[in-house]
Amino acid sequence: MQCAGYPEDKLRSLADRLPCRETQVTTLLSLMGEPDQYSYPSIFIYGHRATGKSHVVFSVMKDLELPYTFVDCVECVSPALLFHRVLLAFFGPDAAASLPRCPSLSDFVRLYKQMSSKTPATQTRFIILDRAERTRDMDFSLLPALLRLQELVSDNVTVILLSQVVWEKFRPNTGCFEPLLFHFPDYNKADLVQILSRDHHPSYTPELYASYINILLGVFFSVCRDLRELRHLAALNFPKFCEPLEKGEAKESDIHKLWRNIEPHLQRAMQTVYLREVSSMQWKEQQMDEKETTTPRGLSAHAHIELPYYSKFLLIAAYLASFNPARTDRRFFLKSHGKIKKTNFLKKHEKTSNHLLGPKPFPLDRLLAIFYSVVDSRVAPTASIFSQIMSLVSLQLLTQIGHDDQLDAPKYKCAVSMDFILAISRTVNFDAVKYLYDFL
Amino acid sequence: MSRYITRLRVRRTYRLNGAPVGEDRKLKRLYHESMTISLDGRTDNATVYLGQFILIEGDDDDNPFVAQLLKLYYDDSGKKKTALVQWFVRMCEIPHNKRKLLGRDSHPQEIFYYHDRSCDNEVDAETILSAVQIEFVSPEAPFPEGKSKDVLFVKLLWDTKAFRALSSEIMQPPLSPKSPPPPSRRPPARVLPTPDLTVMKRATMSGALIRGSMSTGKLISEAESLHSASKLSAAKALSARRRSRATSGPHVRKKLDLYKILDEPKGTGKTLTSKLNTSPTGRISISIRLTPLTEPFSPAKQENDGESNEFFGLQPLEEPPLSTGRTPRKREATPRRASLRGQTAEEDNEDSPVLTAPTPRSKRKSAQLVSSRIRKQLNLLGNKDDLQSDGEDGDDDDDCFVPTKIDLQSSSDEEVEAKMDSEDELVVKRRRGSRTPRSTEKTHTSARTPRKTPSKKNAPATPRTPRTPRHATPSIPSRSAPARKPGNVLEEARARLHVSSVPESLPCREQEFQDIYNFVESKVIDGTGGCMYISGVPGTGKTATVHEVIRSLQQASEQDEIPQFRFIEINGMKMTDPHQAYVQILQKLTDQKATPDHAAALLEKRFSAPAPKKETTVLLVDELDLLWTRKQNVMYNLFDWPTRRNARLVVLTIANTMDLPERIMINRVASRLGLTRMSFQPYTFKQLQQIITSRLNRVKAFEEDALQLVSRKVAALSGDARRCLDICRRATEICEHSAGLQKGSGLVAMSHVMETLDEMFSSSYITAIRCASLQEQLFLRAVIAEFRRLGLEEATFQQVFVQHQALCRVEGLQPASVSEGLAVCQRLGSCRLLLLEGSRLDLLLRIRLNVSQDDVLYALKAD
Amino acid sequence: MTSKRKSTALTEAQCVSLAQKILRERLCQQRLPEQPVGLESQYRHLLELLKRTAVHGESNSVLIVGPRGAGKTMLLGCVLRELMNLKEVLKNVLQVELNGLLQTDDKIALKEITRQLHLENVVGDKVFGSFAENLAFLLEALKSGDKSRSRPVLFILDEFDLFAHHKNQTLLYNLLDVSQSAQAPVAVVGLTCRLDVLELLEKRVKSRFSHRQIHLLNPLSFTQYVEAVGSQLSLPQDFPHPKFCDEWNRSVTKLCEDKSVEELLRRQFNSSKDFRSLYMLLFLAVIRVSPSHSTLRESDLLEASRLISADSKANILHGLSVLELCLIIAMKHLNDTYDGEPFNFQMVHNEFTKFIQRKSHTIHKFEKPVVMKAFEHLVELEMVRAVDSATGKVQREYQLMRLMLEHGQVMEALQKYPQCPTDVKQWALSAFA
Repeated sequence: MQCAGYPEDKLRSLADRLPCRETQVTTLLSLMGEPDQYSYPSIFIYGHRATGKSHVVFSVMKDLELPYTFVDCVECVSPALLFHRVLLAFFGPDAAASLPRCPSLSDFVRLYKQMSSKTPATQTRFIILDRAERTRDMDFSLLPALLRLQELVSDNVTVILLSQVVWEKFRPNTGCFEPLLFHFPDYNKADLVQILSRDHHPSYTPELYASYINILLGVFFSVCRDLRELRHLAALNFPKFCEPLEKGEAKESDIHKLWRNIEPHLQRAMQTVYLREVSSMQWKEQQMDEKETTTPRGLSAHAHIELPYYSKFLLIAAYLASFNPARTDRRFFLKSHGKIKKTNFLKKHEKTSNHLLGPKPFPLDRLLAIFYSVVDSRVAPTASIFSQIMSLVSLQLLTQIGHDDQLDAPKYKCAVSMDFILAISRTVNFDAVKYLYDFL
Repeated sequence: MSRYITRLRVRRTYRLNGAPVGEDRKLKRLYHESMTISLDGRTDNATVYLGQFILIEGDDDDNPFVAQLLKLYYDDSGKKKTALVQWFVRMCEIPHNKRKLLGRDSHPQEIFYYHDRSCDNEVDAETILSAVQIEFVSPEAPFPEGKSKDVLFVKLLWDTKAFRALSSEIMQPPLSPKSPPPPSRRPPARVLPTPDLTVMKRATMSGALIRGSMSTGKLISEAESLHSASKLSAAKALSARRRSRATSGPHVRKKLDLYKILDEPKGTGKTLTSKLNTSPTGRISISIRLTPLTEPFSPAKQENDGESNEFFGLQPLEEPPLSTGRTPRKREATPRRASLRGQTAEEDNEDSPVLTAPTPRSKRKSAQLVSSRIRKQLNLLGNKDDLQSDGEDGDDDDDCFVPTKIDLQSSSDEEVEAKMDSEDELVVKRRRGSRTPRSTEKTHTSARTPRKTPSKKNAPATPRTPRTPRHATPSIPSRSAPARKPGNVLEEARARLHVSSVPESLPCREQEFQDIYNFVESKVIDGTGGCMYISGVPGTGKTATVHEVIRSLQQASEQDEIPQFRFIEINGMKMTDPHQAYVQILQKLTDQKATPDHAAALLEKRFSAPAPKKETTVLLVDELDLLWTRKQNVMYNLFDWPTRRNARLVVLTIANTMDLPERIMINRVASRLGLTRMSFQPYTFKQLQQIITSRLNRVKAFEEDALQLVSRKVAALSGDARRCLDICRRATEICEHSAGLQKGSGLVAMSHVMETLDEMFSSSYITAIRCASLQEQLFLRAVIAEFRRLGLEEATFQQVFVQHQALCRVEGLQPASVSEGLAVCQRLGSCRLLLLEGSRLDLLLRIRLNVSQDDVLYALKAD
Repeated sequence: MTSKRKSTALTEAQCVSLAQKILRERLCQQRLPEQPVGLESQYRHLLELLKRTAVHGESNSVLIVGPRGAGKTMLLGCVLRELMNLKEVLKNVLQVELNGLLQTDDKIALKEITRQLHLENVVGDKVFGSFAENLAFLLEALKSGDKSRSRPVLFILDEFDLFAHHKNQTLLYNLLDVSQSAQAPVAVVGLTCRLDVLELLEKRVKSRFSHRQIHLLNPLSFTQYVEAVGSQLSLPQDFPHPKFCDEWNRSVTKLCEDKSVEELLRRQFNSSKDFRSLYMLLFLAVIRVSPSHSTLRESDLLEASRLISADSKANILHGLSVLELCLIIAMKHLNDTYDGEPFNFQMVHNEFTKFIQRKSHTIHKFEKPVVMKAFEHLVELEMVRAVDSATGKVQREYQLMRLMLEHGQVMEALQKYPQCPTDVKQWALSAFA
């Protein structure tokens, strides 16, 4: 990687600090050109998360000691902050201080002009906006203005936008200055191996680690290509992988054995990829006693929360009410329903399945009716029942539909998932599935 | 804006005293000779007599109207007190354009005998503030120096056209007939402005005592003491009154002082005369003012050795009291008393306590309090008490003395001082709030002693609030070389055709002109008010006509065919929100700055106060509809003020829509508008033609039919004269080009006009489509195709894109990617050939055409 | 080459960097061209208009209308440059430049005007006074001027259409009113890309605008376009290293004749005529020039155009995991079965599980939460979009979504996708068949 106008050694160090991104770095550098040359007014870099967009840009700026500001738009709740950061970085605190209290774009540009006329840019100045998609929500004129900032302040400045959303979704309605689009592709498998195997465990050989990474990717690659996540997984599972070696059951050479050893764990790990349900500490413990942990740790494991007895039934009733068509209630809940042919209850085709379309609202009395028929002991419709319904609503297990002011017939919806209900009904040993129209 | 709170005015109660002196049979009026003005809450009354000069409450509080009281009577209804007066005008009341007629610049205290039949000299007696002192000066004589600023001078007579010398019968001092009646008829105590018994007792008693045992020489001192007593009480009344009306400004003070002066005559004849016609004492007083305050005597001496004899003439008179062992403090007091006569001519009076200090016999609490104060201050400043007195009078003629006073304070009398302070604070605020340029006189007075100036200086200079600096004059820098004059015929024509160039006359609007003229003229002549609503589409010469009317009316008033009137113009578009209207009107009437609320209050007062105006105000409100507010109070006021009995306000309102009143005005507003409406019709082509020709008069730049074409075209479109003129101008330019290219007649011909017309009126869409890139054109086709397919005027990008790709294949182009497609689509959207939704829902954004399908097809077919 | 390097002071590398410097400035539109291309008539019109204001003190108002990147600003820049060269103008004209993007309301705009006119209520760069006062002050100032004596003021309003959205259009009304009345001479020049800009103006404002519009709709033919490319790329004659310059220019001319280059230029020309996009293309090409290959080659241009015309969504799709890809295919299925009706996660998941149960061998079953995560990632990438943003009451699973991908895009992505499982491909094909 060689590019005019920058010291060789720095470029070299840059190159090996940014593996598998040579092409991107070179393109970026050539876009920037030599420090004193003009760069394109605005550059839009897009690509998936953890493909090193901000990392590459940041380290290029940093190592080559270019004048730059790196602003994460998530941090900038208001444009004022953005302006402040920029001025601060380029012209020092006094410039930033001279911004009025709630600065408009006009103020910002004016100040920038003043300052840059005082200290004209010998090198291209760079304003880097991470998570640029946020700028769309800020101020309608902010994004267009930033895109043509070079022209507005007549200074050698380039705005670099980083985002994982494509450019078409940025373009304002009356058009704007089109930035240069520049895509950061994702790492392919080889790249990932190369990068991941960089942080190998000191006490083991790189080869071993590399093979471990290969196994890991073999399992996870289809699910996630997020470098960060993979790093996490690798770190998480490596001890388990090395266990046989610790115990001396296997040598580093027989990878296959190790693979057989680690494979089930990885499978299990895959059930919870991306979801940090348990801390990595807990995770280790689980792995230590893997014998009895046959049931995969999923949400279901954490699904049930403790509820009063009747509340559970109320919730179940609500679920039934919101996922069964009202017309089927007779069949399900009448103690002695006449002989109704099952043919009436041949299921319609897939489309009408309520479990796809989601819960339907139901009136209070229907809920109560089902509740009474479902719960085995006799309950009086006391105030406590109603209060329990309210508490369920406040727990957001039920949601109340319509206005709160309508006292006569409030409507509710059940807002819990199938397996949650199953877990609940298991605790009160009630077979909910038997009562569900979709599962006849 | 706290400083703008409308000031609290003391209610005055008026009483016509005495039995009616005369009676008018046919008018059934009873004429009275004097009127007592008493302020509620105060115990002292002021009385004005016939023939006295009086101040009459006007719209400008710093300069109340001046007049001479001629008659006092109850009007026909028998309850309303009315006064017949002879007006005097101040310079500031004379219309600007006339002021130069007075060869010199007028003396700040100069007023003019006002001689104008048209102006009604009958005022509501309730508006009389107080009496004022006026001196007649012969035209050639210089203005007497060193008079207090409350004495007004009359030199000339003003009869709305010119300044003339006063005739002798006016000249003769008018006070003499009704000068204070001899004590025989009225014991002096009774007319003392304060019925405060102790004062009276003391006054009479001391008088008696002295009269009992004094040589003739003492008479003066007696007079002095009496006088001082009266002054003391006056002072008391003053300070008390000041407390009550602290919020009202310095000018109120001035009135108060006038009260005092008004009271003086009834003190004793001697002091009065001594004050009225002894300038020397006046000068003495001045001299003493000017001295460095540490040592009041010597400069006084060397200053006025001229009349030192009188000065010393006074001193021996004081000796005997000294010999009769009075308090030594008296001695310090004496010389000051000499100066006092002069001082009393000015408004300071608080130093009278200094006089009473030596008379501790009086057991009056207030006197003791005051004297104790004096004593302290004497102790703590040795003989600096002249300064003290200064400080004292400072806080009743000038707020800037707060500091001095404060550090002069002593613990005993805080409650009094504290009150004063607070007042003064208020005063300070108010003063800075609405300082009108007129109040510069005060700065004169302030210049009297060096001590005042520093605190005074910064008062007007730097603005407190960061508003536009006062010195800032709005102006565009002028160019080094003057603009080039039009060279050839076409340039000449272009200059004449520019909308801005004011034509000699407005053709084709004679009727409207006449109507408006008559309307305004009649109102101005019989001094009533009224309002008129003028509507018409833009560019039909509404504003121009009104301006024309005003111009000719002003000429008329120049030639005195009609009385003076004042023209004010505001424009709804030229203000940031409706309520600014008040501010602008106020600023243009009396160039005061104020907040909207305050301005509204002031205007309300101005237009509803019965105080007579000397001229009608004509107010032009352009772009009326912009003054709409939810409560419509602005419009309401604009239409309501003219209806007030003596507002003398004529309002001309202009807006575009004919039915504005019906549409946006609520009834109470619309009803006020009345029926005087007028609507300007769009110009017909003949009129337009006439307008152009009249503008171009005799500059032959256009061929006849070219003009015809323009005017017909515009008349057909909008009848907007501006448009017409613009087209003509453009045509001349084009003509110039072509002339430059090939030799044609210099005149603007049909061809040029045609070119101009389609340059200005042809829709740019068609050309835009023709110049669009191939992909863009294809996309437009695709849009139409999709519309046809759906039978709707709307489709999502996704649907159109499918069509687009199909078309690409047909055209043998490689189909564009979605990104490109979107780019193309949004490019069309950005120049509004298409109407698009937000770009976030990229595939799903809905597309509409902003042009008719036929236009698109036409444009696409053409190439 | 060697001979040349000996012959001159400048090394090859320096030449390249110098050439780059020049071209970059040109392509970033930092330097105005000597003459605007293909805009002669507009140029003349505008110039004379402004000249009349500057010299004769005749007030005018004009709109420059043209699509993005048509060179409005450039045109104005050139005109002003020439105008300012006239001696009698230079000292006599005041300029006020406003931009609708920056001066987003009249308050700000007024302050800016006052500042740029250096009126007397400006101290340092602070403008005193309230909004109302500023307006009054400015109007007073303009009124005080007159045709012959006071300096003409050029008001340049970029993004003119945005000013029309200010409250009551107060600013526009007043500026245009001044331009139509005997006050200080002004020229109001508006730049906009909206053809319908006049319809935005209130009628009283519209009536005060002299309906002069200068349209920048370049009717360039392709040949002119190519010429423009050539002129833009070629180095100036005063280039310090004549040999290099000649070589470069020769290469450029060669380039313009090259078939493939012409073909790609044609594509560019077809997609959009405006110069800015062309400049972007050329810029991307130019930056690839380096000492290693010191002249512009068609490969550079091809590469550049590839970069430009790439479909960004396809790029993103390429980076998805198999799971996410499967979800997209599932959505595609749903779209086809319920022709374009919105769907919710539950349905997608259902489709997905069906696929796994029936056909899949390589993909094993995932926990629902994991799938949910993948789904959410797609939402984050805005490949999937919620129909209504009312996310409050509805559970995430049941929120209605739409797929924001074209049929073609998905297919293309599948073709390009690295080691895509065959059964997934077949599944996808079964959907699109």
